[in-house]
Amino acid sequence: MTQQSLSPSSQPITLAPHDPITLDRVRRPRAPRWLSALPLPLLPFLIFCVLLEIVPVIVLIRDSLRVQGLGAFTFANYQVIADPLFARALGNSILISLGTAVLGAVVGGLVAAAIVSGSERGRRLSLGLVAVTSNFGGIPLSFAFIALLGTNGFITLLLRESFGVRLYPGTFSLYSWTGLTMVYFYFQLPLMILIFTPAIARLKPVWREAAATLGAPDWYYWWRVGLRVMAAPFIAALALLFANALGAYATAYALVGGNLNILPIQIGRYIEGDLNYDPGKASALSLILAVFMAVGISIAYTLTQRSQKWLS
Amino acid sequence: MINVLQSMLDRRKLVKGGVAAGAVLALNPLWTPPGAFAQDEPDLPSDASDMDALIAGAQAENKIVSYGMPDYWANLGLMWETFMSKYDIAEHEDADLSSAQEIAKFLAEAENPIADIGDIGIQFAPTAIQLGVCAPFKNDTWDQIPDWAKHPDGLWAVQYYGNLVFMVNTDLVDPVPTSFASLLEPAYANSVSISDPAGAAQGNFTVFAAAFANGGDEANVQPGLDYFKNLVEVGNLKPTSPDLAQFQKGETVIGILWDYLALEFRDQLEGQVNLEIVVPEDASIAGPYASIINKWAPHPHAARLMRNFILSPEGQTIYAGGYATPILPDVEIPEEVAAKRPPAGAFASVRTIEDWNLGFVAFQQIANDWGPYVLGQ
Amino acid sequence: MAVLARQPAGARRWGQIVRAVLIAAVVLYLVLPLFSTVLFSLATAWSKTVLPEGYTLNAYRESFADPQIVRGIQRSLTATLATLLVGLALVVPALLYVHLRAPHFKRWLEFLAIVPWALPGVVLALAVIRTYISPYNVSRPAVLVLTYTLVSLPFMFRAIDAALSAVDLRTLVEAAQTLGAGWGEIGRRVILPNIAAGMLSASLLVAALASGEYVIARLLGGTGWKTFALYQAEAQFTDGRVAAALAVLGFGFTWVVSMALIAVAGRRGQAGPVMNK
Repeated sequence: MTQQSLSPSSQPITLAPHDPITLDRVRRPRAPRWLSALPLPLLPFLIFCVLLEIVPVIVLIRDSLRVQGLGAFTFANYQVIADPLFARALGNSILISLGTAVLGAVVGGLVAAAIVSGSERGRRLSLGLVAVTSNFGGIPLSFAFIALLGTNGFITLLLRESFGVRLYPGTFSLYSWTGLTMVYFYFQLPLMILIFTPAIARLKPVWREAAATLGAPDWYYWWRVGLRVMAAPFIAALALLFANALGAYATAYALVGGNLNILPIQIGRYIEGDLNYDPGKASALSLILAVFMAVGISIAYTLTQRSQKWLS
Repeated sequence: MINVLQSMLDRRKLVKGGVAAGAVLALNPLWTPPGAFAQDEPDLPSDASDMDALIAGAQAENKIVSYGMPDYWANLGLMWETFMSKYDIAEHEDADLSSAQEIAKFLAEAENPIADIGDIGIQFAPTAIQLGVCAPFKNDTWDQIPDWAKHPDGLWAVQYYGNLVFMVNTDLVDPVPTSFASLLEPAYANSVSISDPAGAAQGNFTVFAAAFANGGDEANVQPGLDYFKNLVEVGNLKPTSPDLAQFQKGETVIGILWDYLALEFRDQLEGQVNLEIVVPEDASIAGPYASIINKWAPHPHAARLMRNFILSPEGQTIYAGGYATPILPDVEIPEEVAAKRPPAGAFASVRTIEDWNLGFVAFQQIANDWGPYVLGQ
Repeated sequence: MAVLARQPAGARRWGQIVRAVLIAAVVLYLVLPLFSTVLFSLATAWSKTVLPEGYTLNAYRESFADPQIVRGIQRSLTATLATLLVGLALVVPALLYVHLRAPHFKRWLEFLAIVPWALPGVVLALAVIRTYISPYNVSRPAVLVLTYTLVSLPFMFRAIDAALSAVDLRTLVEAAQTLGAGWGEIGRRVILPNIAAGMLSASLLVAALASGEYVIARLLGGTGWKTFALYQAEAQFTDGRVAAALAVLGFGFTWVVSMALIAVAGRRGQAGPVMNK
C-alpha cells in the first residue's frame, strides 16, 4: 500500500500545508468557466441514478396508485396491507430477515476475523470458497438443501440408516421456518465474510501492539478498541444482509412454494402468477417493503456515522 | 359475464380479492381500451377460405412472434419447426409469459405491437375478450371444435388440453392411491405434493378437481378447499412441488399434475425412478389452453396461418405427440403415445368446466382462500 | 509477535481451538450443499439410497453438447463483465472527484448509492420493466446490464469509497504533484494501487451477483436473451442432474476467476484491505 511504502513506520505523513487552489490553477488546462464549474466526473453517475433510480421509483409510485397499475387513480392497492394475510407476510419477512442477518453477521464477522489473522495461504483458500458459495443461491441452492436434508436427502437417510435417527416426521422439516432460516443463513454467511474481511483487515496492527505494550490483555483490546472501531462497518453490513434477505424470492419459492407466507412471494404472485396478475398491487406491496428497508438502512446509517471517524 | 364484472367493481371485493387483469379496466370510465378506437385492418381474413392469399401474406411477412409458446412446452418445438418449413417462414421468436402477462402485453403494446399469437389458459379468455385484444379467425376445421371450446365469432379457440393425474413413485409408495379420497389415508403421510394454488393454474385446477370429487361444482368450490384443509390437518400434504427434479431425487413421491407433464417426466426419468400415472377415479379435470391472435399483430397473416396449422389434423397430432390431448375429436394419436397413456376408459372421470363466468369467480376464490383458509397463514 | 508472547499460553491455545472449531463448522456448512450438488450431477440414479446408485459424466457431456447452454454461458459472462465495467466507469471518477475536490458532495452520492439497497430485486425489475421495457421495448440485454449495475451499486460504491477513505488521497496526490508527477503517473502509481483492493472485493461481489442472478434476468431478459441461470432453471424441468452439473460448472468458473483476481491483486504490492495484514 502506498501509504506504507511512503512511510514504513506507519506514521502519518506530514507535509507543509499549501493552497490547493493555487495548485489547481497551475495544473489544470484552461477551460471555459461554465465547463469548469460543472462537476464532469460526477455526471455519468448522476445521469445513471436519475434514469435507473429516480425515474423508475416515480413510475412505481404512479403504478401503485392506479387500478391494475394502469387504470384510474386509486388508493385501494395500499389497502392490501390491511389484509391479515399480507400484514403477516410482512411481519414474517422482517423476522426472518432480521434473524438471519444477525446470525449471518455474527458468525460471518467471527469468521472474517479468523481469516484475517490466519495464514496467507488459508486466507486465499477461504476467500476462494467464500467467492464460490456467495455465487450459490436461488433454485440450485434450494435444491442442494433438498438433496441434503429433504425427507429423502443424504443426511436424512444417513442418520436413519446408520444411526437410527429419524428426522421426519416431527423432529425436523426442511420445509419449515427452521429450514428456510438454514438456507437464508447459507447465502448470508459468505456475503458477510466478503464485505467484512476488508473492514476488519483495516484494524491497524499498531493499536493492538500499543495495547499489548501497555500490558492490556487481548480481550481488553477487543473490548475497548476492536469492537468500537468495528461497530460502524458491522452495522452497515448488518443492514445489507437484512436488505438481502428481505428481497430474497427465488430461493424461498423454490424451497417452500407458497407454503410459508413471506412478502416477496406475495409480490411475485402479483407479477408472475397465473391467477392474480396485478402490477398495481405488486407496486404497492413493493413500496411498502422498500419503506421497511429504508427505515432499517437509515437506522444503520445514523449509527455508523458515529464511529466512522475511527477509521479515517 | 356482465354481472360478474359488476360484482367485481364492488369496492370491498376489489380490495380483498385479486381481480384478473383488466376485468376492471374494461369498465373503467377513465380508461378506454385501445380497441375502442383502433380499427381492424379491413383486408385481414377472418376465415381460411382463401388459403393461397393467407400463405402468400404469411410468406411476405416471413416472421412470427409468439407469447407463451416456448419450444419445450407440449411439443411446440416440433410444431414451430414443421410450420416454418412447411410454409417457408424464416423466423420465429417466443417470450415465455404467463397468460395474464400475455394479455397485458398485447394491450400495453397496442401502439407498438410485437407479438402475433398467444396461448392462454382458458380461464383468461373472458378477460381477453373484455379487453378487446383478440382478432377473429375461424380455421378450416372450425366446425369440428366442440362448442364449449370456441368463441362464436372466432376470437379464441381451445387448441389442446391436459387432464389432471396423480404421478406416484412406486419405489417409495405402496399401495398406489387411486382417488382423492384415498389420499387422506395414513399410508400417505407427508406424501402429497401439488403446485401453489394461489400462484399457478395447475395448483388451482387441483383444488377445483378436489371440489368435483367431493360434490362441488363451478358454482361451489368450497368442498375442494375443505378437502385440502383436511389433507393438511391429517399431515398428508407435503410442501414440495410436483416438478421433475423433485421426482428425480425421490423427494416428491405423489404429485398432482397435468398428464402431458407427467408422461414427459416419466420418459425423462426412465431407469432412475419407477413412476405410475393414475387418473383419479372420483374426479379429474380438463385444463384447456386457448389460442388468441393479437388484434394488432405485426405479422397478421402468419398468425392466422399458424392457428390454422395448429388446429389442422397435422398440428393436433403434433400436440398429441407431446402428450397433450387434442381438441379435435378424431385425431389420430400416435401408437407409441397411446401405449404410454392411461387406458382411454380411465379418462371417464375427467370433468370440463363449461361455464367460465362461474369458473372465473371460483378460480379467484381458490387463489384467495388458499393461504388464509387452507394453510392458516 | 511480541503481542502473542505476552498472553498466557493456555488462553492462547483455547482461543485457537475455538477458532479451529468455528472454521471447521463453517467450512462444513458451506461445503455440504456443494457436495450434494456435485453428487447429484454425477449420479446415474439417486432417489432412494444414501449415496447415488452409480456415477456418470453424462450430465456434463449433455451440458457442453447443448449450443444453447454454451450461448447462455457466453451471455452471462458478457453481462457480468459489462456490469463490472459500467459500474467502475460510473463510480471511480465520481468518487475520485469527490475525494479530491468536492467532499461536500459525498453525502449526496452516498445517499444515491444506498437507494438500491432499499429495493428488492423483484421490485427493481418491475420498476425498470414498467419504465423502459413495456412502453419503449428498448434493448433487453442493455437494460439487464444497467439493472445489474444498479443492484451492485452499493457494493461497488462502498468498496471503493472504503479504499479511498483509508488513505488521505488528497495529500498523497498533492505530494505527488509537488514532486512533479503528471496525472498519468499519479493515476498509475498513486490512485490505482490504493483502490485496487477495493476494486477486487467489489468485483467479486458484482461477479457473484451478476453471473448467477435469476429473478431479474427472468423478468427482464425474457426468453430473447436467456442467461446461464435461466437455462439452469429450465434444466430443472428436463433433468435435475444437468441443472446440478451447470451449478458445478458455475462453482468451478467462480473459483478460477476469484483465485485469479486475488492473485492479481496480491501481486500489486500486497496492496489494499483484502490482502493487508
